[in-house]
Amino acid sequence: MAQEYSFEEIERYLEGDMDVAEKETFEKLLSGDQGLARRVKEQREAHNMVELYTRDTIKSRVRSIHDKVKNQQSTHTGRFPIMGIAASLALLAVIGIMYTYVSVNYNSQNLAGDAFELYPNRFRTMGEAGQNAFNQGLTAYDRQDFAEAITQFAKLMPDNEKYLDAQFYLGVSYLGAKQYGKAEAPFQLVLGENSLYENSAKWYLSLVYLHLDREGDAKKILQEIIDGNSPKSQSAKELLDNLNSKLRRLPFIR
Amino acid sequence: MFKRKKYTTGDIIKAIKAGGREEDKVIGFLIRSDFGKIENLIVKRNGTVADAEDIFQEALAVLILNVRKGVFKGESTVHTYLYAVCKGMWYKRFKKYNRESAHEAGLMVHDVDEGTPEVALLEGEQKALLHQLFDRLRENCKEVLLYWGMSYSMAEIADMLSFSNAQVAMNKKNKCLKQLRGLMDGDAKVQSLVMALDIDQV
Repeated sequence: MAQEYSFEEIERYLEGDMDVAEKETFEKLLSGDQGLARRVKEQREAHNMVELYTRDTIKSRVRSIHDKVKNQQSTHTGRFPIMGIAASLALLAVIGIMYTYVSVNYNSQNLAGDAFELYPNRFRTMGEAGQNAFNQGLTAYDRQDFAEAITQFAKLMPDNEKYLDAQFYLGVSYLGAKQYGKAEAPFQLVLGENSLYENSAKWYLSLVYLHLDREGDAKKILQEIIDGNSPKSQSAKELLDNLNSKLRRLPFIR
Repeated sequence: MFKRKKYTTGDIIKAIKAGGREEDKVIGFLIRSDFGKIENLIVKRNGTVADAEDIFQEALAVLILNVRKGVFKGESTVHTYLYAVCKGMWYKRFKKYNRESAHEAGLMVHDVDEGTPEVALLEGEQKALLHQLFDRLRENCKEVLLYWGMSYSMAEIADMLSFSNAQVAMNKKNKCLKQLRGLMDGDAKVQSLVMALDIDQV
């Protein structure tokens, strides 16, 4: 009669707890005992159900960790683009402000415009308006009616004693009227005559060149003013420094 | 600054065996490092992201269980193993529901690597049935069988469930398993589940 195995003994077989001899005996019996084979199969099915249940329980834990990871990833991918966009916009705004600042303040025309101041009227014209074109020009110049000032100053002929004065004020008036192309000639004329307007004429001419995009010419004159150690030297140095600023190397500034 | 730790296969095995927070960390690491590849694998083969998640989670559970049982010892990398398990499971599931279109989806038998563990896949109703079965166990049999299923030693189970010693835990486990078997015998649905899952190869 075949040995009767208990549930616990079959468990020992299924768990691999039998020694070699015991296992050999068990398996020999198993191969010829359908009843034992069925019981072993049923117990193995129970084992497998436990494994399925255990695996599904572990899977539930894995799923909950996976959900956390997904939440973290969606938080990161959701937050970072917004933060990224905000940071990019802030950066663009800063760059835009800087760029605007630099382009406004370091553009050669703007530098020239900022540096431009009307030359003072060195002549007393009170009550003398209408007496001659020079005085009428100065009167118009004082009220910054540059079109009228240009008309009057242009009337003076080279033989007039005020001709060089008129040419100088004519140049300044052209600058004031933003007729830069016409401003060069009067200043060149003044400079060729070694007049007392020389340094001022150079200064205004440098501004004319800047407006005319002739920066090289402007810098050359400014350097001459600096080297001449005149009252305009400090202004010329500041303007030249600005023209040589590294910020101006940014594209589209000039 | 926020660089995450990278785990080797050895580290992963060690952490799974340790359980607890270390195990949770490596699960998180594996999800971050490997899920993308599995998602790609399954979505490219007519699956959805939800399918990919389900298969990947199942494969991670298989890995954890097989590490705890000492079946997976790190002969291949964890990543290779996970990929092979996922591929095999997806093939199995696909074949089950799309026998005709398996060929069209490029899922052939030879796609499944040799040595990939055969894994029975539980579908919704089967899973519910399984949980109902274990919920019917009396006393703390569910916990005892769960810890035993996770390959805790009898001494560890005794410690965790406050049994006086390992032998008491062993006796309790056998008693609970008998109880489970009894419930299985009296339930036709569970019997059909056993048949359907071809449960010799869980």
